[in-house]
Amino acid sequence: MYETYRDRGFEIIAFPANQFGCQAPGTSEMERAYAYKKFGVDTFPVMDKIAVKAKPVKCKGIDPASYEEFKDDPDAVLTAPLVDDVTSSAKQSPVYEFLKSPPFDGEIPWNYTKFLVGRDGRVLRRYGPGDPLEQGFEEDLKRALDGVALTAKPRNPYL
Amino acid sequence: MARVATLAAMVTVTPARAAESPESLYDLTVMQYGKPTPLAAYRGKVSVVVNVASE
Repeated sequence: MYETYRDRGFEIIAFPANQFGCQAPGTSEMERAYAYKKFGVDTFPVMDKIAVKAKPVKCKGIDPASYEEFKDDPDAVLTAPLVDDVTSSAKQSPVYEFLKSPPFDGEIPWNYTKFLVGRDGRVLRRYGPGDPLEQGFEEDLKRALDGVALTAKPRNPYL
Repeated sequence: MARVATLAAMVTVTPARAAESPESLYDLTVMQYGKPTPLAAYRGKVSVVVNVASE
């Protein structure tokens, strides 16, 4: 789907966040590699790890200093030294402060929460962590790419 | 005199408030590969911002 719409100006901007069940313990590089594998493409930007929640979370993560040694180890999370992940306990990223402006406010509940942002950089819609295609995403995307206003109400209240 | 003081206050306060609440995602700068990366590179695109994890 990304490749279908990319030529029309669609981009995915991903941020690894180790704040939900401590499920992103890898270094930014490791989380990036995982995201590329999961989505099956590696042409979208995966930024460095950030805090997406307003309240800090305590999670362990792989020590960035040991990245070189463990980068090719699929079991790195079990074998590499873990330290307090400073990205989990960091101040909320300004990006998420911006995205969570009303009416799109409310804490991020879990991984894969999505925000559709228009060409002008304003948030158009927020989607819960589930399948975006079940939340009317594709129609919203087409409208956004065409510069047409989205339908007034979300089909699914976001969570 | 009071009017001058009010005007001065507005002039000093306005830029700071603008920085706190940007109007566009593409006005922000994030880190990628350990380096500051302006999201201005994506201005004009329709994007989906998603928080990801690996487990």
